[in-house]
Amino acid sequence: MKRGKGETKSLWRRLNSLKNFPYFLIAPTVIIFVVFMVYPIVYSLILSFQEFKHGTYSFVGLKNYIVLFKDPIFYKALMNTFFYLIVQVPIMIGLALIIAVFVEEKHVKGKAFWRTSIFLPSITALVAYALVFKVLFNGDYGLINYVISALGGDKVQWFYSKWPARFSIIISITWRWTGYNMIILLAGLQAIPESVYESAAIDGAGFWKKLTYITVPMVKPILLFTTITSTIGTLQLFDEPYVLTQGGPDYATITIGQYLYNNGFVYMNFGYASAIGYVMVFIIGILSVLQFKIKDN
Amino acid sequence: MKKKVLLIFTLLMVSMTAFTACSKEEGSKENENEKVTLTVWSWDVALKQLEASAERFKETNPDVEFVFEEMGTEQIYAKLSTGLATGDGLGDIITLEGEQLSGYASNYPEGFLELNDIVKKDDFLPVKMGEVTVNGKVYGFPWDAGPIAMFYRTDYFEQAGVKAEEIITWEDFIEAGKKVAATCTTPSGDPVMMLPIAPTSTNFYRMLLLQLGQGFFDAEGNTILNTDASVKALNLEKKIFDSGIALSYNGWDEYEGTVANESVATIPEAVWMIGTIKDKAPQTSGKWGVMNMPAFSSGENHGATNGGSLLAINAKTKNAEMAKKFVEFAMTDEQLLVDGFTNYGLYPSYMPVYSNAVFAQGDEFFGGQKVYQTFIEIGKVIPTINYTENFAEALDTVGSSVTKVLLQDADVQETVDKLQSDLVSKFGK
Repeated sequence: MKRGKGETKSLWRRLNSLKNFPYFLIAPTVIIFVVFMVYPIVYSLILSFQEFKHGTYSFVGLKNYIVLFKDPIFYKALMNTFFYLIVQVPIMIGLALIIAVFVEEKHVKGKAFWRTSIFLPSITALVAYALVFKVLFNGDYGLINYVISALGGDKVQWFYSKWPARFSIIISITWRWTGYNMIILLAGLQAIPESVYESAAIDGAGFWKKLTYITVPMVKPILLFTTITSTIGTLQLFDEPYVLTQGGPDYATITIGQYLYNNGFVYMNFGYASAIGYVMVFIIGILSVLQFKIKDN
Repeated sequence: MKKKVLLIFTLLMVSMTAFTACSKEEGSKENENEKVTLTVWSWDVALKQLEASAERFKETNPDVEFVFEEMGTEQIYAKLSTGLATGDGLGDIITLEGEQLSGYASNYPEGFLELNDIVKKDDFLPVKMGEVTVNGKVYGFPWDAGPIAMFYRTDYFEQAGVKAEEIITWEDFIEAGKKVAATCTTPSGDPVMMLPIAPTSTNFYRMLLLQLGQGFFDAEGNTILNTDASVKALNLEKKIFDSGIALSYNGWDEYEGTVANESVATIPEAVWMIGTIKDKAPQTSGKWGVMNMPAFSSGENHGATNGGSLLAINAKTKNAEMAKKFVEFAMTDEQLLVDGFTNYGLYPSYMPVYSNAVFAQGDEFFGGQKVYQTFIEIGKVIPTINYTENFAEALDTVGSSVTKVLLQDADVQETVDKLQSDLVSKFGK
């Protein structure tokens, strides 16, 4: 084949052809993706087979993973994380849906006010909100215990025993994220045509029937979306236990995310932390496949 | 296809050379600079004290510029972990809490400058030398110390008919506490508790353990948490907690609250608590006293310590000599140390300054009592203990054991045996 003119072109002119133009356009994204995503992902996989001691990294094979599968705190963190997932996500999504439906009801006055005030928690600064909850949950002078004892119940030591501590975390996350999911569901509700409800009303459907036979099926894709994002959010949960309970008492509220952080940045076992990260990747992968399967059905 | 890959590759290479070119340029610029710049990381009052020290230092070393970066302890540790891991982005002079240095310095022995030549061992409280010495080398310059004594409310004691000088052992302390709880009430009407205890943290347990002369690790770094002393300390903490004289708290804000709300009669805490008490509860002026910590019945009684910071120098600093010179000056100049003490309650661990008249003065807030003398005496008998690279991790695990014993009624002997075996299997020693 004859090459002719092409050979005499400078490198720049060759690169600068129209055909290559798209690659220039995507280059910034690709470079950023490689440097900040691919490199850390690959490097942390390598790290997970290494041990860091006295300033040097050395390969230790599967040691980190073997230690990890024998680590009781890791299992506690895993159990806690799944507990939050199984209990908190359904409560929050259900609550968000109910609130969204009520806020959308025709006879409700001051819709904008309700929407804003329910959404507001999700944009509050994390530390401020966690500190407020810490005061609310205080065993001796907290508002929540005050209400409980005013209603005749016994005061609960929220941060000093297992289950109350876990529920304090669940209550806090629910308070913070329900409004966010409510707004997303609200958008879905508003997309349902009014005529569907009208014809149902003519057929004699009441509030409950409308909810279960029209609203829920019609917002199903959006429900799935909020469930997936909330699931991922819960699996990555870190802030609330970190500020409210520091993972205590006796690791009762620690999450995988927090245990990973502790191992990496507090205990400086970067290899071990990477191994935890990879086990987490594996778990999230399985869950995502499951959720896609459910979606297909 | 090959072409495309090649193109992407070239682009990557080009961008990388561009990056490295940038950093090289920066490097050479700094070298050209005639003036020496030192970046200092510190927090709160320590930072203010270092700023004052820098002003004095510049009088004799006019060609030094200082850049002070204020950040909290958590921030410093987070930045330090990443900075040491990547070998970049650290300040020249870094403030650390005493017990934290060993973790960083043993993991990154190349990260900090050795200071063996400027730290004279015999001039500092032995406990501080323990903190700055890691694997036989000195990596930090000792600053303030935190000898612990018992702060107590003279008015509550008087009301309850309790005399501070009659509290010799922890048994006496518990009995006195019961009297206080039965007779005294806080301004808001609740019964006054004897002392605050954090049932999910290790503070009080470590204090008691130190009184018996030990820490978490022996001199070789072996875990020693199932010793008699450990069992004794944990048993005593449980006894005090179960006797109903303790007020539980969770976190620093609630701890301060016990002082501000006047809800406790005593606080076993380090000397720096003077600053917090004066700051948070000015209305209690004249109602405080300081006494020695009660002893275990055995009669064995060392001092205990909590907190106090030190200065470390980044090994990659471009101005090592100047950094060393400044640190030594700021940490040993008598007038500076005395000012730091009177202005900010930074209690020096540099013993030659103790002869200064300021330490012999009484304090009106404490009814004129010569409180600092008490702390000086305690400071001299604090045992030197070993902190290792495993300290941070052990701290969390020990905290969970304390929680089990105090809040879940776990058996003390079983818990410490389990704790010991867990940690040994994790650390390998």
